Amino acid sequence: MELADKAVGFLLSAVSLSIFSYYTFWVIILPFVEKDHFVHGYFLPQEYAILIPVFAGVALLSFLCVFVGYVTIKSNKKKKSA
Amino acid sequence: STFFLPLPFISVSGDDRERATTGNQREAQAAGNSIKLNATLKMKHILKIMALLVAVAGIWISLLETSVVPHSYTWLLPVYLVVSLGCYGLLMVGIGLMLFPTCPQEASLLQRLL
Repeated sequence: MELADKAVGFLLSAVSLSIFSYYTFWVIILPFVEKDHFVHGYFLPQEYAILIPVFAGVALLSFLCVFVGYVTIKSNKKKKSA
Repeated sequence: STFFLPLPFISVSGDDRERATTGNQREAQAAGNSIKLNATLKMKHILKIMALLVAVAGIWISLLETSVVPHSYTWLLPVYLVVSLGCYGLLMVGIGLMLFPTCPQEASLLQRLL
């Protein structure tokens, strides 16, 4: 169904745009705002701006490696038994 | 027909491959030339992007060395670039999903054939 496709596509682009704007605001605009402004309460401390993407990237890479290894082992087992 | 998503290196061109598989030798040579032209254009595009990346890295390193930016912020730019690249990829996938053309007439034709 095209409507489901369009909904998934819209959701995906909305999520990516929100992540991009949040991250840009966090990294680029927030350092120039004074410490007492209320907006600082909505954002985590600045060290997390580097830790979270690195952690997510490492998690993604390890998941990919585990997945590739699992598929390889499964196909090797099938080749051996066949 | 050519279907080009704004992702730099991905383009699907059906008619180049069709022209390459026809028996006529002149058409095959023209198709080969167009594929070679496509490849050199893509190479120039890749070089432009790499030059841009090197320029941005140079600017960032010069800003770091002249102490305009404190050293704790070293990894900020590469991480920001990687995150924005990932977001851009997701955005293009989402937009492609939204704009994907379904052909209802061809679908009903296929159903009738089946």
